[in-house]
Amino acid sequence: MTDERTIWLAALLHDIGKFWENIPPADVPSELRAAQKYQHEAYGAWFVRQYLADWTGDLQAVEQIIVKHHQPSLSDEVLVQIADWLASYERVQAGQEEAGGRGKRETLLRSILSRVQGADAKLYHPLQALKIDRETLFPLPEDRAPLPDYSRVWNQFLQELQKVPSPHPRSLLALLFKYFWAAPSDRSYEDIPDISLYHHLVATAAIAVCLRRQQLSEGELATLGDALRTLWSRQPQTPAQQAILNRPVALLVKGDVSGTQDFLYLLTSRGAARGLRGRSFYLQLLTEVVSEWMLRRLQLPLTNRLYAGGGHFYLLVPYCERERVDELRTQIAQKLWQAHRGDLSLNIGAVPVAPVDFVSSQMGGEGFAKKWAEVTQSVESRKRQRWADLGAEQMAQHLFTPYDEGTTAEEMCQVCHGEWKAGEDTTDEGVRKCRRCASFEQLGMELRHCEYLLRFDLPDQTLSHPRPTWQEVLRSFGVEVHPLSRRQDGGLQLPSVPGNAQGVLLERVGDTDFLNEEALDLAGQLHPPVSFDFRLLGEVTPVDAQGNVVDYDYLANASQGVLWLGVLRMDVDSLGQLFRHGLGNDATLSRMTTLSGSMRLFFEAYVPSLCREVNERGREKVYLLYAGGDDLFVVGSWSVLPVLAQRIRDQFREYAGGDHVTISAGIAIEHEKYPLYRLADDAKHALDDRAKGLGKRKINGREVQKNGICFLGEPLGWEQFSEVDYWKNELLAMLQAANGEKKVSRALLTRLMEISQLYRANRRVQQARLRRGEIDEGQFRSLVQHDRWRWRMVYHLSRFAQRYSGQEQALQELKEALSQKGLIQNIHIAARWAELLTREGG
Amino acid sequence: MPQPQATPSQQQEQLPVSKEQVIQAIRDGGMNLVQTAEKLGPHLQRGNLTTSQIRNIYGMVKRMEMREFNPHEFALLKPKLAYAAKRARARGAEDLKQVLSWAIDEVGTDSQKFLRFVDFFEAILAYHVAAGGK
Ligand SMILES: [Zn+2]
Repeated sequence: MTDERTIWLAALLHDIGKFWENIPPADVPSELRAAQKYQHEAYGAWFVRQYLADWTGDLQAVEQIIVKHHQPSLSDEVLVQIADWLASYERVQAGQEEAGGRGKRETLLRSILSRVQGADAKLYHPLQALKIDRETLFPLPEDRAPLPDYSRVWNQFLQELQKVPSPHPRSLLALLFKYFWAAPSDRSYEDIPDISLYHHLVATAAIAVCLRRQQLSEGELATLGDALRTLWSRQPQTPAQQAILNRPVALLVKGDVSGTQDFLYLLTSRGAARGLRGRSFYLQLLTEVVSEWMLRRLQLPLTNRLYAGGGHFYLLVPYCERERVDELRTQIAQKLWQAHRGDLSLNIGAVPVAPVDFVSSQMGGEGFAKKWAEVTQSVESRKRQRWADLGAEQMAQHLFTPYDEGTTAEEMCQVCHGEWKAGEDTTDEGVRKCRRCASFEQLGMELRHCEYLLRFDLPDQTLSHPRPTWQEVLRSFGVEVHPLSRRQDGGLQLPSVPGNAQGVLLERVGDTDFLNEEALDLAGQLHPPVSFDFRLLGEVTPVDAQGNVVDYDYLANASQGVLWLGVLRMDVDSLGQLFRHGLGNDATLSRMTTLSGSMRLFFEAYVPSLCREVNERGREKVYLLYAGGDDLFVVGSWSVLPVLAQRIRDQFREYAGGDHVTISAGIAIEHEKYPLYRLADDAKHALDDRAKGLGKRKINGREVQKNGICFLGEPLGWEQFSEVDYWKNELLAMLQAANGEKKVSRALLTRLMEISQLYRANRRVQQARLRRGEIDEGQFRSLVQHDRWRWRMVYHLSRFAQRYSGQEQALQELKEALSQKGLIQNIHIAARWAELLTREGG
Repeated sequence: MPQPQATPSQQQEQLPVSKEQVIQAIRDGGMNLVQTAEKLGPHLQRGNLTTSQIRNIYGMVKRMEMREFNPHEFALLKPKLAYAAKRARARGAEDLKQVLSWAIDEVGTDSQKFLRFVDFFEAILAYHVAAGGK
């Protein structure tokens, strides 16, 4: 039997020849052609022979498996075929009106978000290498999508591949992602091509490794293959077939960091913005580093991590490693306890996955989405017994032994209120900062102009200090991370390589051009051999005119009107439902990773550019603390947040291609002295409880969450919100007399708020009467409309029109909108908004 | 806003609401009240009613609203209205007196109806101002 790495590489590249189908290579050797069923197998093998000969110790085996994966004879070949099936096998029949793989756009990837239930528009990703710009990221309608140029992308891929100085799986994966993220994995006649080639390859490789390590015998593999065939053809199965279909081969592992909320926001304001930046990035790193540490311990390739970001990760682990996973869980809990004393912890849940779980329910299986939901439940139940992972002995020792000796005010860190010791910890401009807090601030500074991230792999180091720096924590998981910033002279400062470094990773930050000359040159100066990757950076840091990271008071002062600070949080609505039901019966592993990948690209690659648009040079206003997965968090000048939220929503709507997948927002604003953690909480409440409490609606037969925004404590659907926005602008125009007439007094706003209060008070009274059955629906509606607010509004607006005759028309329009178009329901929001925008100072 | 000249024909303009409509406004409030007041406002404006002609009476009504309802005190409004209308020498003031007298009769001793009377009075004046009334 072939070794696991060989199987892995073959599985990873098994379908790469598909890309070549449109531009068939002329010189494919006949012995490869002879073995193929279709054409892509021979192309794939030919590609490996020409370009990756140095990348494997067993070239011949890799070639052979690729060439035979559609008509396997040896068990390795069967194994890869089965992995291929389990990753994506399905037949999503194209409807009558829609050509599947055929037609003008046959070779474009259908955007997965436009495939989710309820979607109207059909959008296609232009075939191109990944770049962080709108033209690349956004799918287009069929008639606007350019015809794909397969040979151009393929040649770019080959060129970059040849630049890689030394073979490393990570560099290969980065290239596969960059070039095949928007390539369809299947372009056969009857299927809708909505799975990216990259995600299909990665899923196949992950499953292949699990199957291989489970050491299924040749006979068992054959039975499994037969079992899948009979499952799909809906034929009766033998007991042996049933048994093997339901026997676990993998574990779906989910890790979830808890305590992040307090960790990020429960800080005093001294240097908080810088520290927050560092902390947020550290959480990101920690999620990645811990998940990779697990993979290294389990000797699994990176492809077995299905997702990492936003404080959680998913791994696919061979089932035989379940006890190891339990051991690792305990070790992680202990390391994190040492590092954070319970302020941060990682809950790890796991559920077994049998072959039948990979198969979409359409094809008679269970559907992978079900596992995704199950593992989340498993994590939740783990959370309830948080400290159990530490192990009984450790727990008794740690939890019941007080460790915080220094608790007098002079021995307290003024940032995190933890311990502070003279000699060990530092004082910065008279402020006591513990080593840990100081290190987060330092990280925040270093990230300001960070263009690369350099990472050394080391043996795990023991944590000795009770307040370890972020670097020490990461070193305890076997990595040392250095953000690289540009020096004055334009060069990059390289740290010295630790003597015990076992590997080096150079990541380009915020740019997909990761094998550029500079990177290659840097790598040339480093030992041991370097692997290359890139990372999208879902973050934007505001700086002042001198380039220093600004603090919250700066952001508050950059507001229009009242000088307040705000927090904006947004996330995709009903995400769990989207994964469980949105893909209908077609939820396979690769379709799900394509879906989560698609959302990541919007949040991590595109949202930062939208945030940068509101940051004017020398007067930057927002701080994108985090955007990834399906959500984002912004701190900034309160006045730009509603505008930004609306813009992000409009762009997401376009990206998704309609209202079948939606996004909601919560904004909290307050005086700059108001603690950030409360603001963060308020925004969370605004999002989770208010904006998402708008109820349900039906879209194309599917019941979905209404979506909207909660601003100034008032939840509104997006359409209503833009109406409120419009009237806010109208009010501002009257107040500022944009038309050159006499400025309307701000008393107008006060009047409008009073009238709104009358309206809402009466509405409540009538609602109570309706509930008691004293009036019916019709009477209710009439009584709500015909009450004091109505004539008072007419009276006051007429008075204003008499006093400010130049604004008569605008006031008349306002009167009509209030009395006839339902604006009365929301006018207080527009008035309050305009009031804050025109108020002076703090 | 330019004041429309009161022409003889407009001075003779018929009251745009009937006694029944006024009674209905006091009984039901809501839409009947608003629509009746909405019709009266411009009519009274054309009849040269000015707020100063009835300021005292309106003030009394608003003060009554704040206290407990006293039907006896309320009934005295009718002669006061008549007196004010005579002094005003305007068709609008006469019409308002007529309309409010119907309304006062309908209120009688009913404190709920009294509250609707206050609203009705206020609404009439609001629409009167909206129509350009001073
Ligand atoms: Zn501290």
